[in-house]
Amino acid sequence: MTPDILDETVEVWFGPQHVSAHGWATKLKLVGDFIVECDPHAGYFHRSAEKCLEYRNFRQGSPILERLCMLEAFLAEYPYISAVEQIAGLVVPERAKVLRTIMMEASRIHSYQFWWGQLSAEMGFFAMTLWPWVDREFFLDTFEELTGVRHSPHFSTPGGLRFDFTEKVLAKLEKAIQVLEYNMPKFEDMLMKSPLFRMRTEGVGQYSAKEALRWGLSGPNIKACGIPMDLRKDQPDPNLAYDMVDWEVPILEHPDHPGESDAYDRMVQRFNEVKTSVDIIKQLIPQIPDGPIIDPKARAKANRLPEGEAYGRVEGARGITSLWLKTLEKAQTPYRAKIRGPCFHSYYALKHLVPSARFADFIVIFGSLDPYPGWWDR
Amino acid sequence: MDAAGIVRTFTTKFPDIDVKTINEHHIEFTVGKDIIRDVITLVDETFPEVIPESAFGVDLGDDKYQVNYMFWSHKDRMIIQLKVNLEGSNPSLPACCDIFSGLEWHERETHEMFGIMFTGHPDLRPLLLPDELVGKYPMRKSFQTDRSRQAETGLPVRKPRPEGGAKK
Amino acid sequence: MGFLRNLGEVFTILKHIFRQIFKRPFTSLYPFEDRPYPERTRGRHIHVRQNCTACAQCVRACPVLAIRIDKADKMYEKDAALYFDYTRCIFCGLCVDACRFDALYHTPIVDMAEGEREDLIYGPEKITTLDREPLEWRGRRFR
Repeated sequence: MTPDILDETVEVWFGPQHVSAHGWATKLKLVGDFIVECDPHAGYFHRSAEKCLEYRNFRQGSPILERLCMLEAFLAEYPYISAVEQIAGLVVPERAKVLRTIMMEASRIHSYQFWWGQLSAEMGFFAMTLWPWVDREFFLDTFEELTGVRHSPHFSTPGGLRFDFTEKVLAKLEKAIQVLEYNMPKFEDMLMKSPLFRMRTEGVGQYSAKEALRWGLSGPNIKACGIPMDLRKDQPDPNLAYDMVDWEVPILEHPDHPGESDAYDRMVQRFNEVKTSVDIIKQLIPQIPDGPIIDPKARAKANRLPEGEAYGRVEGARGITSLWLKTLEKAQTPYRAKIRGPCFHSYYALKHLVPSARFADFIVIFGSLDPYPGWWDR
Repeated sequence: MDAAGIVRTFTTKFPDIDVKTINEHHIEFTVGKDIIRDVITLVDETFPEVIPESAFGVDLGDDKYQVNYMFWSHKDRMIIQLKVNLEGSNPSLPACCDIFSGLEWHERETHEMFGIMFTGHPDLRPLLLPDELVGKYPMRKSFQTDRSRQAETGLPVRKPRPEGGAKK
Repeated sequence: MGFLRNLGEVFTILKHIFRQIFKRPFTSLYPFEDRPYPERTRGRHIHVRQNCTACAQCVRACPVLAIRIDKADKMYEKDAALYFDYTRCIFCGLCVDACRFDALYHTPIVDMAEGEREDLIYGPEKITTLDREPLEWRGRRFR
């Protein structure tokens, strides 16, 4: 490295044409190999979802929401449904509660499976990219059998569900979980025990819990710091069935740096999350009650809503996903809907997290936060 | 701390804020814009593990705006919602992103979508909007969107902006 | 010792990769092979004009305004002609849910690629007929 490289700063645009930058761009300032300034740019995916929601009635809203994040579609549509149910005063039948919870956990697993592949691809480890995606196909088959489409299922509706479980769906879900559990030790060998992977991720993108709380990170990014912040436990939703299950919030306390997390910790944390989700699904499947899947009056009640404000929240695969809904008297459409995407904060956190890292580590830091452009652009 | 304790803490410090307890996990404070920074500082000092969940604007019509701040305190399992009512065509309030840096982008977004000025904000460049929409404040109710597709469906066209609930 | 442990872990990875070589490929040769689609598959629609009552509930339910109704065009007593714009349709299935007269269904036909944009706007003739048996011509065999 000649001295004049260290004297001047070089401006580099990471994205939007870069292969790893699928829908985002970041302006980096480099000195030599080190990043001194990072300026994340948003807006390449902006589809004005909040304005679109103001023109659609309460049954038409969820197809827009689940397109914000295709990978956790069952989770992404839920805050809107929850807010509408709170304002309309709808009570969901028991069977719908349990089925909703099962599919939300399946969606969470599917999202993490995609992310293992994505992070490995971004680090140039292509064998590990395709193997989780093969397992993910089994979950997509389940979604297809249940709802008729692989992505953007539009499963929930205010007051219940649109599709009921059949024997075939249950068989496919059990197959998917079986394949996942069979392959999990293999993935752990490939990723967590691999010395090359550890060299790329250990000590990279390290932040403390205090900083993470300031930036507004949530979900696995903060659970990896040892804070058990999980809405499934903290704020039990009456329309979900997490209270029927015996489970613990998975957190990670690294012995060398307690209260802090690096890229490797966040990978381990997501493995633990998948194990918890599998546990929840396995406990819920024998408990599925018989009965209707939708309140028969739900359709009429969701047509016109009374005046009100509600805050629907769910613990998404990437963190707290919430939607604030305001309606006027006899409303057919929302007056204002504000979507809070978890990745809005994790993308913002790059600004503070990346400086002083090496340029080669930038994509590892970005990938370890598990961001999805749909959440910050909306 | 339970909901009553939190309400007591806030009302003893700031007697002129309105409190509404929505449920055991959600408290709503209506705060004047001159003390919003002090209230957010108090939120920061009262709760040990609090994240800035979101901040957003609402257009209430007739040049009235509302800015909402949402905080989630994990230890107390409480959502703290702070409402600030504003008036005027170009309202302003002090920026709070130096207290919670996670609010920086939310305030940037509210600025470009509603035209609400956050005085003291370090970086108010447009975040999401393309260049041709900057300064038009698309989330305001006065912004007219293209409804020409409605006419193509063969149904009678609805009113462009439903007021007080849509009429068919 | 660290070196030997690392070497052992590299060999574990090589073992997994070596095993994978002898597995059957998971992907299929798409235009020549296909998989069966489940019965709830949301593909292109079919409109049964005998049952249609021109209530326009499907048009109102559509979140993306992909359906156009022409109430003047009557083939039976009280039906109407529907035009489906598949450049806009997102296959959410709300129109099929909204139909209370069994006049609108999804079919398992999902490959609708056309050379021209205009061909994707299905007129009343095209939406009421299936030009082929679902999945008949496309694959030689199922997996």
